[in-house]
Amino acid sequence: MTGYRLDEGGAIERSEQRRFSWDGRAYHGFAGDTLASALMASGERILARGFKYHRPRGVMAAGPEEGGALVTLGEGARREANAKASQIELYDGLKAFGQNAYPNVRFDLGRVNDLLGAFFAAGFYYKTFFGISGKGTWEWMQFEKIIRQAAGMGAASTEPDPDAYDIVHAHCDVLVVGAGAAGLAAAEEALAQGLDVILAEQDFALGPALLGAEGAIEGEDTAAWRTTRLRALSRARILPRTTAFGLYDGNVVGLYEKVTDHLAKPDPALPRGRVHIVRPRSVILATGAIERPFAFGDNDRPGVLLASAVETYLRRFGVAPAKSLALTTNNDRAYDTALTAAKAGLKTTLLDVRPVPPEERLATAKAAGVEVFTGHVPVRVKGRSGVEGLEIGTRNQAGEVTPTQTLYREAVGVSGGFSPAIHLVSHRGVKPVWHEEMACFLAGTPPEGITLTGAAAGIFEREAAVAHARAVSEAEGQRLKGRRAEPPRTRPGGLGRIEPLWEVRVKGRKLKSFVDPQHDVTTDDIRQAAAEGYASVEHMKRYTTLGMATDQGKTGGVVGLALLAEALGQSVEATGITTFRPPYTPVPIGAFAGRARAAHWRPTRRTPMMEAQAERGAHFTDAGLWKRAWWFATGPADTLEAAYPREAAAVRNTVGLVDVTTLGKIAVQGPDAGEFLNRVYVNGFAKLPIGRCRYGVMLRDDGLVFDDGVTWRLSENEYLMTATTAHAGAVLAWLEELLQTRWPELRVHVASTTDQWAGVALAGPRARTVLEKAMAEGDVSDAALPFMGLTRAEIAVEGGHIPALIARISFSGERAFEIYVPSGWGDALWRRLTPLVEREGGAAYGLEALGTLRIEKGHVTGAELDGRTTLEDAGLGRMASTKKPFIGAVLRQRPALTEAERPRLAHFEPVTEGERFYTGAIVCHPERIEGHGLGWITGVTLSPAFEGRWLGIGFVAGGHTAWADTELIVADPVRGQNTRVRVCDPHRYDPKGERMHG
Amino acid sequence: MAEMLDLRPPVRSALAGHLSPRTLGQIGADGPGVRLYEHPFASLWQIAAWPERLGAAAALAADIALVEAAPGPGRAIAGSRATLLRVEPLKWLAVSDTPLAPPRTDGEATVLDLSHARTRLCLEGPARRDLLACLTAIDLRARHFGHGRVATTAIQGSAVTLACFGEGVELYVLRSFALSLWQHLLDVGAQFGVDVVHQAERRQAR
Repeated sequence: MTGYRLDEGGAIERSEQRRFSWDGRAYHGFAGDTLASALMASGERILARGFKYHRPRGVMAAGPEEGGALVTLGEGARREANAKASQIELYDGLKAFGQNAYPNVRFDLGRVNDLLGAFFAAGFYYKTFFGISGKGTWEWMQFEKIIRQAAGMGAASTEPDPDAYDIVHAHCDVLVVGAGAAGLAAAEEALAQGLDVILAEQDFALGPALLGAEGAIEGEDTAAWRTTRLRALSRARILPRTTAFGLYDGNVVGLYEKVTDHLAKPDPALPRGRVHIVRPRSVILATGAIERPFAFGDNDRPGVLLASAVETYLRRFGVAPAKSLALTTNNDRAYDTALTAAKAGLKTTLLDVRPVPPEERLATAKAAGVEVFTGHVPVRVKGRSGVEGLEIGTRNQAGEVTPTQTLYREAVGVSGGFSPAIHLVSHRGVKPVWHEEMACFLAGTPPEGITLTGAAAGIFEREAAVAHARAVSEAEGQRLKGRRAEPPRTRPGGLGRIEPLWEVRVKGRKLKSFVDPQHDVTTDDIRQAAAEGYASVEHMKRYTTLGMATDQGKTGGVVGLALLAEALGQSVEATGITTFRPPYTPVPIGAFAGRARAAHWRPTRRTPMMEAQAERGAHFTDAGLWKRAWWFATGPADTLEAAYPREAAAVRNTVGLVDVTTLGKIAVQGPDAGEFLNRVYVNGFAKLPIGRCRYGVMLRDDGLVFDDGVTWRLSENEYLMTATTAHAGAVLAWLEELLQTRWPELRVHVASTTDQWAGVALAGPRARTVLEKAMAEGDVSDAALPFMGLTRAEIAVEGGHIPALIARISFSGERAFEIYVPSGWGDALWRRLTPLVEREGGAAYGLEALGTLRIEKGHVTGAELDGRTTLEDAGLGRMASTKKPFIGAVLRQRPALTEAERPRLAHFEPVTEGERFYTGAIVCHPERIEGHGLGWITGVTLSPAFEGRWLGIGFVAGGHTAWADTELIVADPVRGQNTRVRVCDPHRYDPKGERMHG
Repeated sequence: MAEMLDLRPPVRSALAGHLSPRTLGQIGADGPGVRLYEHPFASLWQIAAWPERLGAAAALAADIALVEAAPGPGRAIAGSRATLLRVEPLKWLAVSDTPLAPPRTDGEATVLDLSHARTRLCLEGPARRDLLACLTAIDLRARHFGHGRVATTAIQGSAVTLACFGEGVELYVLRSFALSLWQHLLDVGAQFGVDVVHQAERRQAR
């Protein structure tokens, strides 16, 4: 009563055994088997349980349309649910498990659901649970939890995906999808025209349908024809195990290649899979067709297969589903299957719904020993855990069925016609068109560069399909060469006369007939949906979930919509089909991430000093893509909280050294560079002398502050602009845009030199002492290098001298120098200066201490310049020139931007010593602690310069002068705390600048 | 100038400490799919032209590199003093293994020293195009990207200029990204079998 391996035949390597386990038990198959064929050969019939009713299910198909044999593969982090057994290539050590069943698929307690079928009809959740008590959604949400427990198929691993995936870009002249006879011929023809060809095939074998096939193609024995084509294709890029899952705008095609799934011990360096993003000039879809069943009683029992699948198992795998077989058809195709089965020794019966089949077909079948019943249909399958028999009946011209007898056959093959695989072209928005004669949907007119051939184009006769494929390929080749070419006009056909049949119904009998076995949708569900007003095919799909499982309705979709059409009393054409969307078959979600995960999620930018800093105990933090030294630990017990005030104090008291390489650096070159800067910055740059620096602020067009930084005039026509780390890229892009679109007449070039220069800031009263000790040449005295001066010098380092650009700039408020050297010597500079700094009692400092120093000094950063801030808000209003136009000059005058009540930069001090507040907190009036308040806090630090107290910087309406006598509240609703604060002048640390000038 | 150069200490590679020769992945009988090494250079100058004086800038670039004519867009030429890469419609890079003196421009172009801003990685071996196809979307087939071709693209989110010479591809990467990109190349490349070699060995092999 179960499947077995034939003594001979099949494209399997009988000398190469493959051992695998199914539900913990050991089995074996052969190289070339799928899990489905090996289990069938081993006599296993029940491989799965249905989604809702937990009815036993077996192999139903031999491809991605499989709706029955869904299994779970692998264990642990590599567990994968809902794999289709008919698509799993067998390998040594494969482990597969039944799913959606307890304790196992052969004996599943969940089968009780089958007895409660009436409750699980379409829309049952909504009807059953909504409004059961009261009207609210609360009850529904409680039931939903229970339903979610019961629903779903299999369980995905919750561990991180242990495998790697690649996203690979490919270009070619012609991409042929599908390596059946038509695909092979199309690819060969394209190659012969000197075109660059990629051929993708979802199966692990090329020309899978040709394996074990008899007959001839183009006058050559089928097997030999296949071999000749494969040899001819050696110059093409051939991708087996690769499914085209989507066809997108511009004819970009997404392929998913399974790289290691079929390997017992894969090379660990190989990715598990690759998404190929192919940009072909021409796409030829030779994707074949998918056979569809029709519905009859208990047509989901293990042992009911598609007729073509029976043929595939017999021919390609040398496996019979049972000793006896009943085939049932409405077209000519199943006659071939019948002949194959009879020849393999199966007791074969063929039911043809057509009262008068083609005579020649009939005669050949009978001569081969096939018992044929014309004008007959299957009524109901006998047997619960597998086919034991088939009740059949006659069908008259009115479609009325009269049961006649039961045939005791152990397998049933069904052919209700074929659906060309037009999914990919539909992804481009091409509507399928109903072909009455062939009873199938064909593609509408595809966009340029896409053609269909073979069964995908409705051409089922093999010789005609191959001829069509060659003609299509040649026409495409001509088109690519710029010549006009007429596409071939071949009429669809090759299945004989089809008598459309969607369902077998017997008056007065209640049959459970499945349309979508994967989602347990029955013919009654479709009718019920129609009766309840779900008249559109898209609504019916969502109500019944027909076609929403992993097979996406590849077999049942057309049957379902035909039944809907029937129920509504309209044509199939008028009813239409649901839209196909990518992916054609499931793709592991990790494959779409490609390498962009973990360490490769994004690149890391490193300054040349990072390694030297790490050696001195630096902890790093992310600043965009950069790693920046955050703080320097003096020992294992040291903490950030202890370190940063210590580092900041070192700068105030002696000297500190900080890496400023991450600042954006932009070379601005050309005779109009000065004029350009003068237009970009709010303050004047036209008269900046050579060898001097100037702090500048630039606005956006809308008058809000964009970025700030110091620009150095290196020579007559060359400036070095610095931008904030955060905005470096955006500033360069903005400058390019201005030059290219607004002021193309300016002779200015801009280029990033961020990577060219490594920079440090050396700050503190002892900064000059340290610098002078390090220098081999140059003069940094106050006379030679005043505040905002610039000079060139040589720094003596181990192994020689390095050239340096030194500017007298201060971000900390102390006497400070920024020293830039070419990046390749950045490490040497850091290593040279650190011991000198330490000898003066100073220290290297990190980003946290840098923040402390700038908060104390009242300097703004990206935290303040957040795209909402005006010059005045930042306390920089006086910088704006009144003598020249600049970007943003007009719109910054808008009334809303000039109100005196706008939040302005200020310092905030807790009234009670020791109390603190946090960045992001809201500044409120004590009587109105609500809403957005009067302002917000942008930075908080423990401040060595202000007696070691907590100090905040931020904004408050009207600025500090408005609150000179009023205590405010810093409200932190997230932490649930309010802190009383005094508002102070943000520029009260060394207000005259004596420390940095001095 | 020469005296000053003698005083210069060695330039530290952005990949320092990561360049030791080794293999990753499986090396087949035909050898590694990919050979990878850093090829340091002494000078890299950018020459940027004014649109209406493109010819003059081209002549200047040709002078710097000692070639007859500067290459057109998307092309590269190796001269006896430097290699010229036309990286943008108005820009060339002149790359040299020996130090190039700052070029005199006479206002016909701007020149910019980027000698420390880039790291040059060299990718050789039969799978070099396959590896690059995992990293960038541009068409790298030999007929489109053969000897003497240049393209600037993005790899792992950072700008990279690719130049194809003979059997190898040079990657000019931003110095700050170089180590990250190097590690990415090794990780993705392992599937093809990577041989990390020392640059000096490759020079000898050539």
